[in-house]
Amino acid sequence: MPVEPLPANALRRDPTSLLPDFHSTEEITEASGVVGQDRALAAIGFSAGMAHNSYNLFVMGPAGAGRHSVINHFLEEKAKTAPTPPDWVYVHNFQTPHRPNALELPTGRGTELKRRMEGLIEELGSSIPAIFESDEYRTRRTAIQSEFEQRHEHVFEGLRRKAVEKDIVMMQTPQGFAFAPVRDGEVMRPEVFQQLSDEERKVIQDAIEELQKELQAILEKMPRWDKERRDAMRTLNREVANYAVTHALDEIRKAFADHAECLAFLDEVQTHLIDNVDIFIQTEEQPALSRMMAGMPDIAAMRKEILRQYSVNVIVDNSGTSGAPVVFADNPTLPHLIGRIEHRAQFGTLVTDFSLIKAGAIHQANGGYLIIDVIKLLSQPFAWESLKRTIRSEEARIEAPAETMGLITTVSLEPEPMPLKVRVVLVGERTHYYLLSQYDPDFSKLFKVVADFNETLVWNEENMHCYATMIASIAREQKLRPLSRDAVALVIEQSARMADDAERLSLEVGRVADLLREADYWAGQNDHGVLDADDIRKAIEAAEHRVDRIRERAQEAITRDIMLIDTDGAKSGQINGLSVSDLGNFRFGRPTRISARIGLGSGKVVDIEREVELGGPLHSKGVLILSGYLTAMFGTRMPLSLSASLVFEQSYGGVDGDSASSAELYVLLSAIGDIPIKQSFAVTGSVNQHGEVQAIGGVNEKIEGFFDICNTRGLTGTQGVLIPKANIKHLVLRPNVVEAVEQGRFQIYPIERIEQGIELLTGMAAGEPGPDGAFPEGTVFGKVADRLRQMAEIRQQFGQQRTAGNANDDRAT
Amino acid sequence: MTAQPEAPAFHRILVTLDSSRSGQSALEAAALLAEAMEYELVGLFVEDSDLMTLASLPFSRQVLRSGVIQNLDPDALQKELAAHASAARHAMQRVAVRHRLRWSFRSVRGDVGAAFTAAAAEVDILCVGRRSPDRYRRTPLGNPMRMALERRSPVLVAGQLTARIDKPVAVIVDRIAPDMEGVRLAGRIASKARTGLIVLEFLPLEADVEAMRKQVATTIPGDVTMRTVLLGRDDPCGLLDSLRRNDYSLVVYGVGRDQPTPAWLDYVADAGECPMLLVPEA
Repeated sequence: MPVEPLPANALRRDPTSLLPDFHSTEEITEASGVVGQDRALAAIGFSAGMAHNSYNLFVMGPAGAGRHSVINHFLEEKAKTAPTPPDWVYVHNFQTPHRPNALELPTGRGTELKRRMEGLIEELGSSIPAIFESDEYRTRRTAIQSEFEQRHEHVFEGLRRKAVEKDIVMMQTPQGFAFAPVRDGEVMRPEVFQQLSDEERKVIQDAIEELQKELQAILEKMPRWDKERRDAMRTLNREVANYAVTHALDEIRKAFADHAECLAFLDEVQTHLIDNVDIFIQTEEQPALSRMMAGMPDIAAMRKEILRQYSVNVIVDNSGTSGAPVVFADNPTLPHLIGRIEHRAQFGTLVTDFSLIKAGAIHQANGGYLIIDVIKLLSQPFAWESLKRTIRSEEARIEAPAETMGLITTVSLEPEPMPLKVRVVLVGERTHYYLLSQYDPDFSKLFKVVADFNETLVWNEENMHCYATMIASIAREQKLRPLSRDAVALVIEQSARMADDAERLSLEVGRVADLLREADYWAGQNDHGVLDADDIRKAIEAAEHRVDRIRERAQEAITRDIMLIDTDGAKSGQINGLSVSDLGNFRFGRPTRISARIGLGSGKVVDIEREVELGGPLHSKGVLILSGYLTAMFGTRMPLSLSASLVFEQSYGGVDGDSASSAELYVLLSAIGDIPIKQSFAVTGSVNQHGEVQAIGGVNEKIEGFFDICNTRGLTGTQGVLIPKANIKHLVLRPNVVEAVEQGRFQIYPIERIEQGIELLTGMAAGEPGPDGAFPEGTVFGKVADRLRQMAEIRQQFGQQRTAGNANDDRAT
Repeated sequence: MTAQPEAPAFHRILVTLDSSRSGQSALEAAALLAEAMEYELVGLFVEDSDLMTLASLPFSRQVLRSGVIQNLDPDALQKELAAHASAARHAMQRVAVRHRLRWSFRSVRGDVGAAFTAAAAEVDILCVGRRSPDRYRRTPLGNPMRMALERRSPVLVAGQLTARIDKPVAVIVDRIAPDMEGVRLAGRIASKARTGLIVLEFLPLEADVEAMRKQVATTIPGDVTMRTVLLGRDDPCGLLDSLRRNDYSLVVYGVGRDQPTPAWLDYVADAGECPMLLVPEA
């Protein structure tokens, strides 16, 4: 039974009849929920509710499916009812300075502790020097100093007097002291000394020797006295400092009385302050520069350095957070993800301390949710491994990347890790999920829940209502003009085109929102108060126009006969196939001439595209299926003695997919049977070994691609496209194509079997085998079978002649 | 009408240099005053001839600060003194450059007192450390500060710490001297350094306060802002407390031939930490 062309109403689905009754989307006031993602939402809810650290979530689906907005919306709602996590701060570890301590404080109290400690530092910076300048302290210090000096004075004065009684004077030398005999107020000169009797000289020498021994004894006591003085001064300083520091810390202690760790830190501060109080008493006796040049420490810098140790580094401040945090790590580099330790330059070297520890997204999300784009995460060195380690250990440990790799051998910081309770949500495409599942054994253990986002939604009345509500919500949220009912209908129709399916709607919310925004722009240009169908149409056309330069060039090449495509007449071994070019955000179809040539051979069909490595595996598979079909149809009663070659003419790029396999079979049959094919048709569809034509993708673009060429050259009424019958449900064609079909100027034929297609293309019956298996004469298959038989006979004759020739040769030798 | 202070003859400050901490303080104090007064800084290092004589004696030995006793070799002592002189010169150069001063340095050998006295004859102000380097031999070889005062030269006693002359200059007035040399010099320094002048009135009960104030007012330059602080009469506590607060860049004290007593002068000089300029009065 001949195939009938599809009626116009099968080519495009009019959504208007199923749409609710409204004038503009302003009337749709209900809030749109998440449309068509029930499975994904259930998975998200399950993951968010599971306490174990391995039930992290992988959200997968195509870009633009609204994965981020859905997950954000859902988690933020869930987070509102969750408890707000505590604050975390890092403080100096006075026992092991390179291991700063992490303190947990109730929400909002981290900044309070920081503020109070800053106040303390400011107060101590002035109050400690002030208390050491007080009259009371000075008096006590002077008393200690005086006691020491008096003791010195006393012993030296005693020694001096003793010396004077013996006419000896004590003098200071560059390195110490010496005793000299005196005569008449002058140091005795050597010649005078020589004039003395031996006895007098001995008396002087003995006296000096005795004085030297006494002085030696005094000087030996000096270090002990000096130590006693220093001890007394230190005790005084500690006593005075203790008073000042205890008083200053008391208020902070009271405020944090319930936090043992915090109190322990304050005790450490007090002890350290008192131990180092000397630095507050010392004064600069030389300018900082000259001290530095002399290798002496800068007192002000030392004070500042000591006071820094009492400051508080607030790593996590949840004072402004209500509920659990939901953090999106937009740039998940290792430092941004798990935190970092910064350095500052000091005299040409890089130094660090606890105040330079910076939080990562993992810290900010502690107690809540962390959302990361998986592709961004995987493209950052060490980030994925660190994240897995962090999830597994349930603690946030900050390490420098070089340290992780063991590249740094110098001592750096090892901050105390914080306990971590975070639900990590990775957002990616399906490919990422499957690759990670296959190649990373840790992935499945740590990300046990997957939320799989649908790309499409069944186009029924109920869902259309939801879809219209979603469109209204987008317009409202994006502050766009309201849409008229016709505009909504057109958006829905366009959504079906995006889905490439007349029975489904696209859930690529991002693309729908783009369309609305662009239409709103054109409505503004045209002073429309309401977005109408023309604005939507203009937005679609403009968007296509912006990217269709290549399509234009390709069509121009055909209409200018640079690319050879016939749209009328009939030729053997030549057919119009259809292909789709994908430019990322834009696809278009175009005809390609497929030709076949045959000769004697062993039954092989040569795919020239494959021979030159331009054909992909799916294309090769399609061609090999043709061999199977031919063998089954014609090779059961005789050997197939042909060699056929197939080629996509003027194709210089790669070809893949099996959507041209039916066209290739038609052209092969035409070439074998020498039966002309009508060039007014283009063909798409794959074929199996039984001759059944199967569905393909991009049917709308392919039909429109051939239609545009025919339309440019002038529609004759005989032109059309053969498509698989299974693709009827995918037809959402452009209005001008539908109109041409309606007017009988263009046809679209749904094909189920090869026999139907070849009859249309050749105008000749395909032919059914008789009881003997032979095809009737005057049919396509009959002609093909005859030709194959002829070729088999020729091959047989050729073989016999060759055998005979070889035998003669043998005899001759 | 305000009396014009008499300009000093040499515009020089003499500082004796040694390697001690007090010597360093003296150098700093002298430099600051020289900067304020725009005077030349003159450094003097004396290689004590008595020490060289002692080293020549056959039994001469020295006790090091560590308590070790060793021979005192004249050649080694000579080298050590030369090294100290060189270090003192460098220290002076550094300070003078920092304060942008004209400066000169002399190293002489001889009697310390005589050398100091000779050098003092050519300068306006002498500067000594708070703790004199010769503390262990005040007698019979003499005390440079006393000697200078007897020669009627002002003496600057260095403080513990001096950063710059930015706080007011104070002058102690404890009697009505005919010339008010102390007040005159204090006023001149305050004028040059553009700081205020605080008159610390420490007067005996019988003193005529009004007359004294009138005399002070006519002695200081007109551009100096003056404030008077009455510290009680015959009670030293007020004066000593005021000095201990260290609210001054410099304290000027006019001293007579017999007044105050050396013991009181030591006491006052030790009370605060800022430099004290002792100015001989008639």
